[in-house]
Amino acid sequence: MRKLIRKWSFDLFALALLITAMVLAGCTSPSAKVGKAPTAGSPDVETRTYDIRDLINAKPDFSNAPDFTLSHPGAQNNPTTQLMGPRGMAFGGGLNRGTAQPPVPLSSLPNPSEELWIISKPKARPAAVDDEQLPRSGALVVKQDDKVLPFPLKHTDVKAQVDGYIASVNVTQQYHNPFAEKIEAVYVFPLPENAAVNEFVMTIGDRVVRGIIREKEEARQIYQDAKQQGYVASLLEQDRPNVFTQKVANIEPGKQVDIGIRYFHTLSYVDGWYEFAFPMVVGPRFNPPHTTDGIGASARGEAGTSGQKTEVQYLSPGERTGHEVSLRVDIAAGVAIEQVDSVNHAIDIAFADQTRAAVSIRESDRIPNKDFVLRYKVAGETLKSAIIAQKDPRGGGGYFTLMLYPPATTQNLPRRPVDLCFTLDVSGSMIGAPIEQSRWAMRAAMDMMQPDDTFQIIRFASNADQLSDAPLQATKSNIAKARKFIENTSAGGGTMMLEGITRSLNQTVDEDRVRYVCMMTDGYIGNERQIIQTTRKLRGQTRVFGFGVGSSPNRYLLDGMSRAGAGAVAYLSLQEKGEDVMRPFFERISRPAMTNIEIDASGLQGAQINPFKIGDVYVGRATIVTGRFEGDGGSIVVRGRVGGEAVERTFDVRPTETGGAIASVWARQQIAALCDQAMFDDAEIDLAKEVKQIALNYSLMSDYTSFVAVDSTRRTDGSYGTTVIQPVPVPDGVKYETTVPEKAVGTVGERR
Amino acid sequence: MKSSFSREIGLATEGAKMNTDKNLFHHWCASVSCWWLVLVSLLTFSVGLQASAQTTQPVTRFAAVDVFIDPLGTPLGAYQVEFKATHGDVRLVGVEGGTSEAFKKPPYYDPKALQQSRIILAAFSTDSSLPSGRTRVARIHLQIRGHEAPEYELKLIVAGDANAKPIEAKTSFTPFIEEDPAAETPANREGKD
Repeated sequence: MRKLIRKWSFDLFALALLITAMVLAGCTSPSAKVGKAPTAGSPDVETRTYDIRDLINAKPDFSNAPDFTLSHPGAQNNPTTQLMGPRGMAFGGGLNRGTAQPPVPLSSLPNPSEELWIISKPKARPAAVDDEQLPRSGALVVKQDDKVLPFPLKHTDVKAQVDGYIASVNVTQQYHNPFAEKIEAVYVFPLPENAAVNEFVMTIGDRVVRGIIREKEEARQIYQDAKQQGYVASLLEQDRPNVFTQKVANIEPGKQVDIGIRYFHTLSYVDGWYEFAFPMVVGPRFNPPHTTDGIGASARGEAGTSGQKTEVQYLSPGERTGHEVSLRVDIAAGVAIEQVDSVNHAIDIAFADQTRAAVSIRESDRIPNKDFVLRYKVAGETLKSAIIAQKDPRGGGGYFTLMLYPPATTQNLPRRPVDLCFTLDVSGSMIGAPIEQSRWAMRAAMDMMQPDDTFQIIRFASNADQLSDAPLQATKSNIAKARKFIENTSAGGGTMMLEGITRSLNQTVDEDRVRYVCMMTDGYIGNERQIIQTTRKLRGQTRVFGFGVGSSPNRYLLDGMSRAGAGAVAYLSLQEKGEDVMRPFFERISRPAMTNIEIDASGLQGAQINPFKIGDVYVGRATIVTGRFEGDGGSIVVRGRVGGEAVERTFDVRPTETGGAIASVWARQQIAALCDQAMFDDAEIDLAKEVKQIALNYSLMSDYTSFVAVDSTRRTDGSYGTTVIQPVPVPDGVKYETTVPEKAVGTVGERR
Repeated sequence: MKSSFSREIGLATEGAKMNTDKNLFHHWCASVSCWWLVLVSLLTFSVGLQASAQTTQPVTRFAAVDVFIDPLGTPLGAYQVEFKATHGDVRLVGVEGGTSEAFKKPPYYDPKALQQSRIILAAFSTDSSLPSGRTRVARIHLQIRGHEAPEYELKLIVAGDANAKPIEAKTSFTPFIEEDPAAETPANREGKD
């Protein structure tokens, strides 16, 4: 028995050891799925994570870089290169152009738990180096006169075709990898607020892959899968109706991937001029404390410091990335073009005939730090009731767009006493030209006031204050008091716009006067929706007017506020005088051209009109209405009041041509209208479902849909590489020091 | 019996120390072995659970399918086809054009008809040299999730000649197989620079 027990004990022990060995061997078998590098066509998913150590032997490659002289930032006369570690530790240096870099010392690397290495992410800087001279990047830094930094976005080409007042715009972004290892390029960029983005293509060499519209989360997942498995892929996401993020994964060293985007939009009509705008840079925005879904601003290399969902990195003064924009607009006005003008850029104009012109930005003015704003004026009254209709290319019904033109002058319009509240943004981003322009504009408005008008001034930065407890009569002494108040106003601090707009709209309303709030701001905030929603909720009978100042104002905010406030919007560029814009603006708001406007679409079968509610029409500002209908067409009637009289006009809607442009414009406006409805009216609609449905049906970008494109024919070698965030310059006229926080969250205007 | 028993006891007593040591060792071995078995079982069970969890998680891969049209000798000026996955979890992630210059640009798709794994593609060409033999008109990029082998279906909706007149045509598709990189053209591999 003991023998048996003894034998059993040994057998059991041996068995246990054997099983243990087998299990351990099984766990470490090369055939296990975990960690296995996938092969083409394999169903395996690569589960390995990557850390900075994969980049130890990173060797930036400048064989394809522009021809600049390399220079050590701290030694102006000794051309060198420098490779910056993610914590800003300098290593390498002293190398000539194109020379490979020495391996990165392990001690300078961050914690391996920092899985994703952002090239430009310094946290500390060597004390021995001049702080101002030290680039904050893991990229190779090249220096000539300015610091020119090689980042992936090499060039943006814009080609626009304007027919009447509808623009079709093709944007091509060229991403090139100047580094020795694979990268993912990330770029946050603006587009017009009403852009209907409906095409997305990715070009690799001579192959073109059309992107597919997908629900946002699904598109993101597809992109992540493709990125992790080594496929070249791209993703376009909408952060705001006018702010987008482009990601391109697995760009191999020395290779280029082009991204093509097409969108449609209607032009605005201002003072007899059609206006085509192409925004070039997202301005640095202030986000109130404790918000995370805004658009944050951070210094180049300070990724993640803004604490916001979307973040833009800004170049320091004197730095460049080499990214330039070429732009050409072909105008086919249909009638003779009288005049063409560019607000911010030097342009070349070539007329093909009286009705067609080609406009392009001069080579000397291609740095993307200000909006391109092109205006053209046509002769005569031919277009003064322009309606354009197209048949639905998918069959059945059609779409139309109608521009309601106001009278040319205020001459025959009755004046009504006004109660005007100037709401002035005096935050850090307004320092310099913007605040000075606002002062001039306010002085001009006060000069035009009649004794029966009243006014108030509310200014806001980190908090808000006001000129007086109640609106003041526009007497000489009160105007003098207001002027002094304006002169003593200086800019600085955060942008608590919510406090400013709330205080402006909570003022007592005088029934004898038309009350206007004139919001003067660059709009650099991240909580736009909150502001727009508050405007709608509190406005009552008040009309809210946006008065955008600066070279790249936040048009989404200003347009949205004005729409929610049943007002209009005006933009003042740095090249314009404040009083030149304010005088006609004030004259017009005191003499509205048409009020209480209604569209009667009963003459169109199954008509869906946008916008749902139309604000007043003022001289110099046209209103655009778009609609969808079933059948062959019909007519619509516009009714309203001019002065005290009721007026109406009938428009025929009979499409003769087939096309997709107006369909996209209508769908985009339908999405905007649904968002407005949900936001303004607290409407009980399933916004996500409805917007998603329209966006997918019309292949449109939206808050709920994104474009994704994957080249599944080839996997690139190695890991998915390093994420490189494309930094951008601050808009022309905006002070970097007062708008880009160095580290803290929500401290715009409080830096230094 | 008694003496015999005593002898046995005596023998046991004589070898008691050695036997006790051996018994203790055997008990220890048995005990350790039992614990090892328990631990190993638990480990095996745990690994099994993990493996099971891994197999239930969706695995993904990417693949492409080439779409061909043979216009049977008539120059192909336009086409519309419907492609869909009839089996498997498949998502469309990109559409590329064909090989001939006439259909090199990626075809358009009808967004309204677009579903997770169904797409209607259409293209027309005004190129002077239209293909009249079997030609690849599109390449569809796909993401395949899970272990199920996908199955596809391709239908010709309409094909037209240079004057948009409907013509007879045959369609076919083949899975894309990556070419030998050494045989690949520089244009396929290199960037524009």
